[in-house]
Formats: sequence, C-alpha cells, structure tokens
Amino acid sequence: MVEFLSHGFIQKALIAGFFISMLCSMLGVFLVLRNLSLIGDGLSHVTFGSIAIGIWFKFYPFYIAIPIVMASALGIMKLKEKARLFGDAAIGIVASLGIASGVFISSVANGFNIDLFSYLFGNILSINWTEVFISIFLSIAFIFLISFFYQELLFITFDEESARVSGVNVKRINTMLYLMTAVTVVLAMKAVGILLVTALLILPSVTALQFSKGFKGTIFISSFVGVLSVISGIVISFFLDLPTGATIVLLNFLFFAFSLFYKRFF
Amino acid sequence: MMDENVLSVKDVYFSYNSFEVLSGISFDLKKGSFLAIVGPNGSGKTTLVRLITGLLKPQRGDVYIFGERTFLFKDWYRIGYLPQKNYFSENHFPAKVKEIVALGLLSKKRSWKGIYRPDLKTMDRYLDLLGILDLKEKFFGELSGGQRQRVLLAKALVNEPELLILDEPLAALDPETREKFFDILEGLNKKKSTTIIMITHDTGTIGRYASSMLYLDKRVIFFGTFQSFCESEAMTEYFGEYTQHLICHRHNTEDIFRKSYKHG
Repeated sequence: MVEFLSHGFIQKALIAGFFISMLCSMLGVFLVLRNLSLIGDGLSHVTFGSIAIGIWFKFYPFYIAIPIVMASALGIMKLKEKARLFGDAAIGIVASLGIASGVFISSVANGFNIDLFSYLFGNILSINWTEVFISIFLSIAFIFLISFFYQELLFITFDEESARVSGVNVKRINTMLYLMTAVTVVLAMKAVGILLVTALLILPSVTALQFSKGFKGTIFISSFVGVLSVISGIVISFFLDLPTGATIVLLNFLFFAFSLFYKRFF
Repeated sequence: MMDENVLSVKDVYFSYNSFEVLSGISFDLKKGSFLAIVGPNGSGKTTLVRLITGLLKPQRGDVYIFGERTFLFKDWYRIGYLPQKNYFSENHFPAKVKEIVALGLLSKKRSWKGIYRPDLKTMDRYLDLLGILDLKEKFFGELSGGQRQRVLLAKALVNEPELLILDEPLAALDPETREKFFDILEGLNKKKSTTIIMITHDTGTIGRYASSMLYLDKRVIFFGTFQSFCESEAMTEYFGEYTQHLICHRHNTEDIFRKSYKHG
C-alpha cells in the first residue's frame, strides 16, 4: 500500500478524485430532485464537441471545454425558460449539437480521432498537477457556494414559485447551479470520461435518497458514497489492472443496489 | 396615498397569447381585511394571485403591494404565500418538516442564512399552533395531504407576514381540518390584523370568516362585503335568488356556482 501511495500519478488521482467526486455528489442531489438528472449527460456531449475544437485548434482542450460547456449550460437554461420546451428536450437539443459538432470536426480535420476518443472513457490516472490544482480550487469554491446558498438551493428545489415570492433571486441561483454543473462535468470528464460523467452526478445522490436522513443528511451520504466509489475504484483498478473510470461507475452502481436492498429489507 | 392600502390593483389586464384572462381588474384592500376570491374554473383567480405576487407582470395596469409596484417591491418577508400545488411529486423529497418550515424564514435573512435558536422557537410556536409540533422530525413525503398543507401554512406563517395569500388551500383538507384551518386564519386576522387573501371554491364556509368577497369571471363581477353581496339586487339578477340565498346563508356550497351559475 505504501508503494501504491508513493506513485505520483496515484497521489494526483486520489486528490483530484476526492474533490471532484464530492462536488459531483453534492450537486447531484439538487439536479436529481429538480428532474435535471440528464443535464450532466447533455453537457458531457457538448464537452465532446468542445474537446474536438480544442484539439483542432491545438489549444489545451480543458481550457476550451470549460467556457463552451458553461455557455451551453446557459443555453439549456434559456431554452427551457423561453422556448417552452417540454421535459428534457432542451438538454437533448444541446447534447445532439455537441456530439454532432465533435463528429463533424473530427471528420473534417482527419488525424486526431485517437486523441478525441481517449476523452470518451477518461483516465484519472493520467491527470496532471495543473488539472489537480484546478480541480481542488474549483471544488472548494463551489462547495463554499453550495453551503452559502444552501437554503436558497433547497427552497428552489422544493418549490420554485414559493421561493420567488419569498424574494429568492431564482434566476441568479439557477444560473449559478447550471454554471457549476457545467464546470463540474468538464472536471469529471477526466475522472470517468465523457460517457460516464452522468454516473458520478446521479448514482451517489440516488443512493443517498434511499436512506431517509433529511436534506443535509442526504447531501452528506451522497458525498460519502461518491468519494468512497472514486477512491476505492482507483485502488481496485490499480491492483486488478482494470479500467479506472468503469470500475468507479460500477462500484457506484453496487452501492446503489445495496441501498435498494437496505431500503427493502431494513 | 397608496400606503393606506395593503394591496391596490389598478385596471389590470392580462392575456395568455391572445386569450384574455383578466380584463380591467381594479380593487383595493385595507390592512386587516380577509378577502375571499371566488369564481368558476378558468375565471382568472390564480392568474390574479400570480400578478399580486409578482410571478406575472400585468400587460396593462399596475399592482401595488404596500404602496410599491410589485416588480419594485423588495420586502417579501411581509408576505406569506401558499401556492396551488398538489405536492404529490414531493412524495420522495428527503427534507424533514422542520427543514421545510425553516424555508419560510429565508426572506427575513440577509447575508448568512443560518437557523438559530430564536428561529427554532418561532418555528415551534407555529408548528404547535397548527397542531403539528409532533411531526417536526418527520419527512414531508410521509405526511398526508392535510398534514402537508398545515406544514406549508406553517412555512407561510413563520416569518409572521402582514399579508397572507392562499391559493385554494382547502382542497386536501377533511371537514374537521378545514374548520381548524379557518380558526387559525381567523385568529391571525382578528388578533394580529394579518391581511388575508384566499382563493376558494368553498363559498359556504368562507362567508363565516372572510370580511369581503371578490367574485371574478375574467372581470370583477362583485367586490364588497358579504353583507352587501346578500343585499345586492344586481347580484340577485346575476346569480339568481337561489344561488345568492345559499351563499348568504352560509351553507356548504362547494359546487354552487358550477351547478347554478346562470351565465356560465
């Protein structure tokens, strides 16, 4: 174990994984309860397109993806508000635009398909120190924002209309939630890949929702499950030589299955 | 001049697309009033409440709350609001009753929105008043419709609002709970001079408690006291003697307008 922890790439993966998974799990509770579970999926598709743009123009994809995915998150919010679209239609529109752009660019600019497709499955073990520091900084900043605006977020999640009449600036809080989700999706992409980002957002929160422990308790359990899945996923995948992202997601699913069993029989 | 009234609605018009829902609505409400808003389905009652609470903007005319136009109004802690919502989708909402009620305190908080000991005492007082103190640690999703409604009323009351707006709060309540609910509202209205606006179809019971009535059917058909409604020949002409009699004698006439409404 000491030897395992002495590897630089393991240290980086564990540190970044801890912060990213905690952030995903906290945000996930609000997203799931607001019927926005699939926003992570939609934005991860946009990440695919923006990574393609980054590779094409030879920019560091991470830096290109963040502003594009943030803009897309605002686009989804505006479409939902203004275009009177039902359910997840706004997410579907933006997601398909993202994936189509990625495929189009990779086809036009032949030669970087391998780079692009490596992002689909991610690899937290290849994370570099810059990404680790960005992940730590943004995660701490967002966790602070969630704590500071906790009551507003809870109020809007429970009843947006009443929250407005209580003077809560619903538009500002919603914008904040969408933007935080966008950045979190880009951060999580490195851990589990574009295709599995949604799992980090949804699975810990739906697991936590099986245990009735109050709203704060739900957020705490969700964070615990999220962090436990990522840390144990990194350890298990290293020793058993398994793909890290998939191991993390499958562990998350196992915890969810256990929570269903617990709820049924205890 | 506006400050004399808790609420002033001035010649308000509102349409959804080209479908006019409210036309030339005007009325004033003094502090300590208890106004029942009644009318058939689709008559614009909820739209009017959404205009009063600033959730919608009038396309013509103005709504003033405490002398301020609703879109400029900032002191939302002076208002308690219970929307028309069934909350059935909240069956799995993980919050406890105390967490839901605490949300009602948010409009009074400034920067840090923590819940402190005096807040907890206030919450307990209202939970006790509504007879649900023992449900404090329960989950909202576990409660019956009537219990949920009382929790939401506690949330609306906990910041001790001067104006309480209730959109069909009686739907999920059994007759016994309705009576208790009205007793609580009457207490607030009489002892604390809380101004109350309530949308209801229960025209029989409301007459016992409300000081005035606004009968809406896209326009104001009647606005005034129950007494003046009962004495109004114009209303006899409009509703018919039978309907007016039933309302004025405070029978439980939940569907009275639907059944006997002459012009519907």
